[in-house]
Amino acid sequence: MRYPILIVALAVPLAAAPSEKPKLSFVKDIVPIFTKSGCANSNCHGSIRGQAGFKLSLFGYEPDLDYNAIVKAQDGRRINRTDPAKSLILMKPTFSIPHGGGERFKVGSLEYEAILDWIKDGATYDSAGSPRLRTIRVTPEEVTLVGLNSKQQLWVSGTYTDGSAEDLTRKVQYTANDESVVDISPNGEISAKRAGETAIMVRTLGKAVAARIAVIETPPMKDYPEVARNNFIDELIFSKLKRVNIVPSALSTDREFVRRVYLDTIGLLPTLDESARFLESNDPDKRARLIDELMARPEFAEVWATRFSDLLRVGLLDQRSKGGRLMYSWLRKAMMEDKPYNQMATEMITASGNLYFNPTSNFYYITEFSEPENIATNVSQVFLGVRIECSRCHNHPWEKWTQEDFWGFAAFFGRMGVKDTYENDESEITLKPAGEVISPKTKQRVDAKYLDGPTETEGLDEDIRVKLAKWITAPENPWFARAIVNRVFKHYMGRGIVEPLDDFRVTNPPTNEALLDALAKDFVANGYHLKHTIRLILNSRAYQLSSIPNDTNRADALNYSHYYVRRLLAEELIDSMSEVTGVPEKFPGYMLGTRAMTIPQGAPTYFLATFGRLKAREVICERDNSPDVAQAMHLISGQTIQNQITGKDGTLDHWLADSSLTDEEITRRLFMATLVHPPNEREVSQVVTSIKARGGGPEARRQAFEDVLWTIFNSKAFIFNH
Amino acid sequence: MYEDFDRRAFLKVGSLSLFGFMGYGDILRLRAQSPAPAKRDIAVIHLLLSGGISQMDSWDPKPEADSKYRSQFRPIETNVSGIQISEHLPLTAKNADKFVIIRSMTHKLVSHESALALICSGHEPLGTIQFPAMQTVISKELGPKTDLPPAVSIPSVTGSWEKSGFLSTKYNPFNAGNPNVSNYKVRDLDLPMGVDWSRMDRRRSLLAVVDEEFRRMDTTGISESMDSYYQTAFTLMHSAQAKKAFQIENEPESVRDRYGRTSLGQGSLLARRLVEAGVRFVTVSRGFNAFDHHKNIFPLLQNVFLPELDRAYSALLEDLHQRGMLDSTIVIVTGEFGRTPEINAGGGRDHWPSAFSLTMAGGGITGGRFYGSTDDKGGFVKDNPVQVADLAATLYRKLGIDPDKEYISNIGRPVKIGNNGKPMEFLMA
Repeated sequence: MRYPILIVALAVPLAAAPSEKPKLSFVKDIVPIFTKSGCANSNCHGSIRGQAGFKLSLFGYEPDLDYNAIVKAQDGRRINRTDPAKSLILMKPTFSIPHGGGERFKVGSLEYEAILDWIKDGATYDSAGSPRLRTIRVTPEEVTLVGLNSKQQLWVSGTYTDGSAEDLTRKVQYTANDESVVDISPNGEISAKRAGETAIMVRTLGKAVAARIAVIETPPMKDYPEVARNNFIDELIFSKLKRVNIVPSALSTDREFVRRVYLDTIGLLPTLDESARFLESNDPDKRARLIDELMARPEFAEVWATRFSDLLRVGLLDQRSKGGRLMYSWLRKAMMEDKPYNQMATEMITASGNLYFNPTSNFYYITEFSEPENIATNVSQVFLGVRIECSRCHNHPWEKWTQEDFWGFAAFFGRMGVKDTYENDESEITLKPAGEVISPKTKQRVDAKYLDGPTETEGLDEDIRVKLAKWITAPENPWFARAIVNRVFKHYMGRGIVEPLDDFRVTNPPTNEALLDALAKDFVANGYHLKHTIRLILNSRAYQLSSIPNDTNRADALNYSHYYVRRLLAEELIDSMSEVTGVPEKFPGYMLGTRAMTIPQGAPTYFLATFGRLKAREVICERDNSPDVAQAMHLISGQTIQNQITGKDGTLDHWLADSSLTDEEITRRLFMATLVHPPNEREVSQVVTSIKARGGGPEARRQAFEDVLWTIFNSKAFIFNH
Repeated sequence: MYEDFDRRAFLKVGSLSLFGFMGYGDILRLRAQSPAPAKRDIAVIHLLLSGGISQMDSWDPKPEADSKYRSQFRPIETNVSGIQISEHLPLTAKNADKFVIIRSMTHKLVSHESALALICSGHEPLGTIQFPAMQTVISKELGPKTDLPPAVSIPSVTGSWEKSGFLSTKYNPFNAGNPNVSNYKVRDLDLPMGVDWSRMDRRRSLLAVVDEEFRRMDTTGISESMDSYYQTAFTLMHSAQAKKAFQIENEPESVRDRYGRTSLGQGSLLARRLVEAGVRFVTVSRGFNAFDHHKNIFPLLQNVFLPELDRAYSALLEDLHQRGMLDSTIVIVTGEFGRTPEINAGGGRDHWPSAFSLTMAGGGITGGRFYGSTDDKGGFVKDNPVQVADLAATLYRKLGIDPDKEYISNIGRPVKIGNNGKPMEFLMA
């Protein structure tokens, strides 16, 4: 069938005069039209099932499939060689006949003329040696627009496998990640709509790049204030802020700082003594000293063990809590001794053995059915911050990953298995003597292949995961260090430089590439020690800024111009309440006096579950800390809060029995212990009035202070870190 | 057939037709573009048999199968000739004229979490996107009817698959607790002991003072969001209507007995009360994985699970019917998958999504029919396969919501709420 078409193709140039316009290439000229016009989008003809019987490759990734679909499928009914203008492939997108997708381009447009010419020229496919697109570049890659409605033209160039280059500006598809910030015309002209930042995705023929755009309303300030910098983190954050005309907030007060840093590092409030000591100290380096003290405490390791347990989702399956406990202890120990993170990762990736004896083997036991493809998704998300899951079934819509990439990566785990011993519910992570992964598309065995890298051909009868771990933790790996420093950064600064944390891709650029790059390089150069990077972050001025905004940074949620307020974790809430009231919370299965932050996994109480701790068998990636009605109701009248505020023989009873303490002093202490700032006059007078209104006496006092505790525990200043 | 088909749009396009035809895709497209269908006040009660009920031992008997596969239970006649169900659902058999049995639902997910996510949302779960459960979509599209939350789960959500996914948490179902306990009370709905409303009001006024400082510094809108949840909480706590709806103790003992003194039974009764009080979607379960009978399936089903289901389901149907509520209430009974035709070594059945059964009643559905059938062992669909997305599309359409409506998910990918499912036409009448 092909030969007659080839003959026609050869015949045409012979008949054509030398000064005719150049012959169109199907791959270079026609396929991009279908991407640009939105035909090959994932919600239409580019979807797995195609649309209305017509299937194109997603974003033009497979031009040979597209050629079949357009020219050959269904007896070639989409092309009309005798009357090219009547071809379905032209009639439909111009809405000359009913088309579910509406009008994609007009009759007589560049797109229309190109397809028409190509059909007239014989609707041929490029010959085998035709150049293919290799890379595309967008210029400028990063730009700040000044003034609303200001404009900027993007230029896109492509290089081909034969070394040729071409201006693709009018042929690629442009999409703004956030359409409220800028509009982008089909030919690549940006117009600013509001102050803010976003990225423009540029796509064609399966390639994608992004341009990072910032919009500021007024020209850069001439009298931009000098801002002190403590380290390179400040350098990079503040220089970005200056570029976008945002002035950072003032430094936090000592009161604000001490409460915040205690909660962020050890998940607890400072005691009255601890905060008094800090506030009264005149040491100019007291903040740095406090940071060192807090990072040396075991509670610091417990916070990170909890954070990592969330990420790794271990021990959440039924009967596996013992394994979860083991893993938590391993994580805690690793954080206490500041074990290098590349070592931690290697131990997890190469883990095997009995879940109850080998802590790291629990890394692999997170779903009941640990197929290689599920493991691959997890390993990629956790250690590389890359979501390859979409490319399991089709080539990734926004990134370069193909199905081949996905299954090649899954092949590293082809020999893994889980053996249930049925004794004491023990299970083992094992390596089967042989195992392979079959691609669902080609139905062939797949070779293990590194992401964006070569196939692994050596040492295939050994544990190939050892090689994988080396590749993942190598200093040259583009993702490993960036993914973890991004995660650590978010923990303290409130937002990752890339968000979501496990969605690193070309079309989701970091808000501050230089910052992420510097953090990652510094982390690697310092032996992958997490404490090193954490110390840098906490000592930066950026971390220590006040959460109170100024007029220039009120709307900023991306650039760390002020501390971003966050809701306390479930553990932080209950542990803090208990610490203040002296009333321990009982967690079923654990000794009285256990802190929630030391519970390895699961949510043994309603409070913990309601405030977001992951329960058994949940399969979500990140904890959800958003407020909801059940949380409100539980804080208003739930048993947990009742126990805390009415509990006997705790701090409150102790103070009430102390005749040297006035009502004003007790009120002051309660505020200082929970919010680290003293009550104002209104607050004090309301308490005193309410005691009098009840007729005075011990019962009235008790009740009044219960109300104070209730109020404080329900106040936003308590529930949030700020 | 397409009751909301926009004729004018058809004519406009039709006149340009050169080839003189409109593909099915074109018609669907037009329908999506036509004005939104009118919203109807139909409520849903979903008896979620979490764990997966075995189809051949309940709704789809195969008495001729080999003993390796065959149920130990015989089929019995129902009050509809030609329809037979398990002998351990006798009360339900007397109400077969009210419901449709779909025997041909099918999917490919074998783990509880993913299958539950599918059955509750109509979408197969992806690691990258959290799909909202149908009750949260309904909550968002239709909003509350009365003081009560639009979606309620009894005793509580079985897992995150019943929740709002990438939608706001304000659409999450409200957890009602287990009504089968003595002195049943909704958690945290009442004021704590020793606190009356005047004391609570004093607390609230002090809270307003303490919160002032924080409000000044808040730029993220979290203050407003928290305030709205507190407002909803207090409204619910104040609402006499809500309090009354949850007071299951007001039901006559004979009614409570008829439903059965089990969590499923009392849960179904509470569901009826809640629908009467304006709740739009109630999910009743017997707890996570209760029906996951990998061992000893026959004694378990015979002695406990089928009688419980039989009592609760038949009571609910009869009660709704007597109260004239059946036309405006859809009742769905389903697990997340079925169970293996082959009985395993432990005398149980394992997970089986290739073919399973569900029932649907009410909301204008003509009962006394079955749809779809399976092979001789009840393991594979023989005709009229039904996708879970079709169930979602059907429900949305019944409630007057466009199943092709698109939301933008948490990763920016557009998602049709009905996941391209086709509403089941035989249920639309």
